[in-house]
Amino acid sequence: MKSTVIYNGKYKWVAFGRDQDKPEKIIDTNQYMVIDGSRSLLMDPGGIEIFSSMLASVLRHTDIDSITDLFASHQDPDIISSLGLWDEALPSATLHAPWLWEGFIRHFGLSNIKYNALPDEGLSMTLNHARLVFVPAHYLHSSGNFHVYDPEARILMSGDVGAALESPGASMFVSDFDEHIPKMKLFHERWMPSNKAKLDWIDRVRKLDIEYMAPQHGRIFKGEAVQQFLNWFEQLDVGTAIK
Amino acid sequence: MSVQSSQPPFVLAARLAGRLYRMLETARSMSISSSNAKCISIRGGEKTAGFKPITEFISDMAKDTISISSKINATALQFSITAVMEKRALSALHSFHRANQRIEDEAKIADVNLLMQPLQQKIQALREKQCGYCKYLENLFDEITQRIRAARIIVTNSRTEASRAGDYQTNLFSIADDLEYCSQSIADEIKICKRNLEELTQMIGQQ
Repeated sequence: MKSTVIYNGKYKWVAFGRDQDKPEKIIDTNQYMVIDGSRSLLMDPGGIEIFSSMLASVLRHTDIDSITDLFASHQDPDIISSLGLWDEALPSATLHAPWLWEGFIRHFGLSNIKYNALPDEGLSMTLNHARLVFVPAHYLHSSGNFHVYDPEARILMSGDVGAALESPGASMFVSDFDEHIPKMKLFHERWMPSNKAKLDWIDRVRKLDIEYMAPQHGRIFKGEAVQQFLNWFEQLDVGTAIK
Repeated sequence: MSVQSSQPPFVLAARLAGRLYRMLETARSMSISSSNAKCISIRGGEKTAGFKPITEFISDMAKDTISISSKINATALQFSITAVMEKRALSALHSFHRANQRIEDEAKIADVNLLMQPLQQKIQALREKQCGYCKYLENLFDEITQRIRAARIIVTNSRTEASRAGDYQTNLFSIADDLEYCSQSIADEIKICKRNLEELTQMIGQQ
């Protein structure tokens, strides 16, 4: 699995993805980790099928005892079906995930890890230096959904918002926004159910200072591409399956 | 740092792969240092002639270390994947057992037993595979240990050659320091990795 450092200050942000070893027909996912000395937060750690690659990749960057926190933006299997295995690997860790999904996520296996139920309005947490905000993103696409914003690194981990269906081995960053649109269009039209939720999220996110917008599938948006995405998403009609 | 044996084998193996990644970085830096030394030894002509075969040896050794470390890394990852598969198969087996305890109909119990048989075979095969990986890893570690041992002797010789290099002495001493540091840190990593592997082998043996 490829790993890319996207921020290197007092702490690090690392993106993982483009897993060459993953079984066919499984959607490629991006995982993110904030490494902050003795504490690390692993975001949307992925499905059970990519667990081994993910664990080995993560341990290239930090020690297992330093992975203290996990985050699941929502309940989907590609987000957190590996939980039962992480539960054995990191018995003292805490999982931060929407309160709405606690009873559902526990079906993936949770005996040791502590579940920190995120309230609808969100929360913030501090590792050692890194202050991270769990930003509500309900109905984008899941009915209980959060993103992670880091004001210091100016990174928004945006879950399925900004996701694209890519060919294997694609670059980690959006280089030509217009060229990227066809890879995102269907995904957002079909997976995002609510125009109201979308506009509310855009309104809140526009107030944040963002250099990188890092989705769970596809490529990371950098600089101007972040605003281009917000403008494009704003005019896109979503929830199209019922029309 | 020793590993806690309370950790499952798939974590120990992934930890091993993570450590080797760091070792690869050191071997790469060793390769760069020996290339620099090669350039100096060519520029220095007669005075630095004795350094040339040393740099060639170090360069080959670094290449070998990178190649063996990559093999170890890939094998450790395969081990971790196999251990995860075993864990999942075991979990299915336990679930079948629990289901059987709740079924009253003998015929249905026999049906579930039929599901358990191939699963048990699969678990056995996965364990054998893990034993094989452990043996292979042990051999690769022995190979890399021998190379590093030789490299450390050669690095000591390089100091003698550096002291005869006139104007190039300072540069070559600094490169010799660098090579010594790299070979020492690789030797230290190998020691830890070997300990981790022993623990892993013991754990597999106990299953």
